[in-house]
Amino acid sequence: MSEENKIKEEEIIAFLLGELDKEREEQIKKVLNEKPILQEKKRMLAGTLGLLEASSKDPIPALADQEWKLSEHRKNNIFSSGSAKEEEEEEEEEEEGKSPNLLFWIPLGVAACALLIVLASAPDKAGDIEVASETEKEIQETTSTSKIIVDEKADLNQMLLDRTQEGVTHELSARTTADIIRMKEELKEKEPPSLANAFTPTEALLYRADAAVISKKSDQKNNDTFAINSEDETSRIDKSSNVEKRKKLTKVKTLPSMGFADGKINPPTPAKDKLQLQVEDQKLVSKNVQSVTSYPEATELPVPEASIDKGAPVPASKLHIKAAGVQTAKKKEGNGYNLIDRSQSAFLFTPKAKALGRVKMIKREGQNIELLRQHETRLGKTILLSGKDYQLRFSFDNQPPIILVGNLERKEGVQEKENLNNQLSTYNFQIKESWILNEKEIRKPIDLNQTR
Amino acid sequence: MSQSTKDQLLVGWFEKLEKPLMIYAYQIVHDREEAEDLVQEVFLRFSKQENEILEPRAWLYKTLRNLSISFLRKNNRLQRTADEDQMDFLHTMNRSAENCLVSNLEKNEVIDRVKHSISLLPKDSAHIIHLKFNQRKSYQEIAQETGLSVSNVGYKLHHIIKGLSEELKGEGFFK
Repeated sequence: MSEENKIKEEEIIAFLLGELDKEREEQIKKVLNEKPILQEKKRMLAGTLGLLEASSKDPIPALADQEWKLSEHRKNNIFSSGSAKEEEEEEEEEEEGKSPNLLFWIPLGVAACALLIVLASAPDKAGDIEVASETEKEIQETTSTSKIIVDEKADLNQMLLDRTQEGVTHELSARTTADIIRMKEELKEKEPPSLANAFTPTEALLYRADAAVISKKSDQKNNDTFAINSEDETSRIDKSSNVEKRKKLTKVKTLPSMGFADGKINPPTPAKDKLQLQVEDQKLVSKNVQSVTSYPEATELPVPEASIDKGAPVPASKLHIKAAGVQTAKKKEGNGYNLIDRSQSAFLFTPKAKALGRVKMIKREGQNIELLRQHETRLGKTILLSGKDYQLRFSFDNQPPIILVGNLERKEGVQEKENLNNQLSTYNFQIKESWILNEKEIRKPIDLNQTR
Repeated sequence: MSQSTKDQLLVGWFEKLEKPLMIYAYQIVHDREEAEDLVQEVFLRFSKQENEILEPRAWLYKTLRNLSISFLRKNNRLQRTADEDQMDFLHTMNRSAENCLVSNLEKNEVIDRVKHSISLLPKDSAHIIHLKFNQRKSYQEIAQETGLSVSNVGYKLHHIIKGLSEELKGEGFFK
């Protein structure tokens, strides 16, 4: 602070205490009015003077003469706190220096232990972890799909069919090319039955019956359950011309009609159908007769149509059935496209043979099929499909299944009226390849234009 | 600020203010033991301060005052000055000085603080204050009684008042 200000401060105090002469007092007043900083100073000094005046009325006794010192232990407390704090800070720094190491090593150790446990528990499966996880995903997807179907209150039969189709497809996809070649060779090596034996109870039916029947025959359990369709029962029926006996037999075997038209478990039929087992039986016979004309292998054999009628003695009802069967075969005669067009429904599979459920054919133009995927919208999520090598599988009651392989493309903006305002998209399926499954479920390429 | 610098500051201010603060605490709580505890607490807090204290003297006084008043309130020993006394005090002050006081502070706290400062003054300075503010003597009369020159009386008074004013300002009594 400058000497001038000090003087002025002194003079301000003297001014406030009334110690200045009149002339100087006027000068100070003038200066104070001109300078706000000095006014502020004056205000503070005046406040202090007022406090001094107030304090001096009742002064407190002077204590400065006495000994005023803190005790030693209090001093130690004060000054040790600083060094203690310093030590704490050093310790904290040390800990901070250590903690990153722990953070690094502990998780690493845990991970190493987990890896050792996994390897020790299944050393030979260590490499299969990835594969297993993929399989698990597939299982989860399948399970979730099933759940969705149930959630939508879809028909139980529908679900069973889907599952069955999926299982069959898995089975087929598991077959290697070597297996297929081997099976073909076996077929070639196998001597076709003679005409005389063509309609013998066992051979004829065994050879020409639906592949599923054969497979079921080999399974003893299934034989018990589905004895109606087994070779023994049929031959018994054929050998015996006694209609009554056959009626008795069919009445005894009032099992649920779970046929094996394409080797799969069909949905359970209502109870009233149990009484129509005779009709089912007739159908089975007619199917076998039809297979003679429809199967490529069978058509290669010299089986004149008349020989069917001239075969082993058959009951009158059988003859009637045979005739009807031939008529039906004639009616259904046409190329593969006609069969597809007549098909009520088909099943869609991904290129990896994963079942995607039933699809409905809307129309077909040449090799382009427009189809509608049922149960497309599940839990509000639309499943969009498109790509190459999708598969369509057409199943028939009395024809081997046809499998089409081709490109699937989604087509938007079509309402499915039958599906309660549920907007479903249609798909275009362009046929690239066509296959047929023979009685051993071996794929054989077919030309859809050829008459079947 | 490094810890060693902090320690140096602590030692310096402890040597300088140990006695005044002890007296100040005693003047408030009227208990020596308690006063020692309070002063110890103030210096402990001072040593633990992370941030740099710009005016350590004012900080130490202010903290000690607050701690002492808290102590009195906890022990129901706080005696308030009568409103009339406060009014008398305000009347004695210059009108301009009234506005300078922080209105929200207890008036007796300020007065006690000033009394404390006076009690710490050397005897000759305390005597000059007594002659001027108690006996309302002029510089001339004080000079005659003390044997000092008039200008010397003026200088000493200015020195005391200026120092006190700055302390009070630092402790928040003046805005």
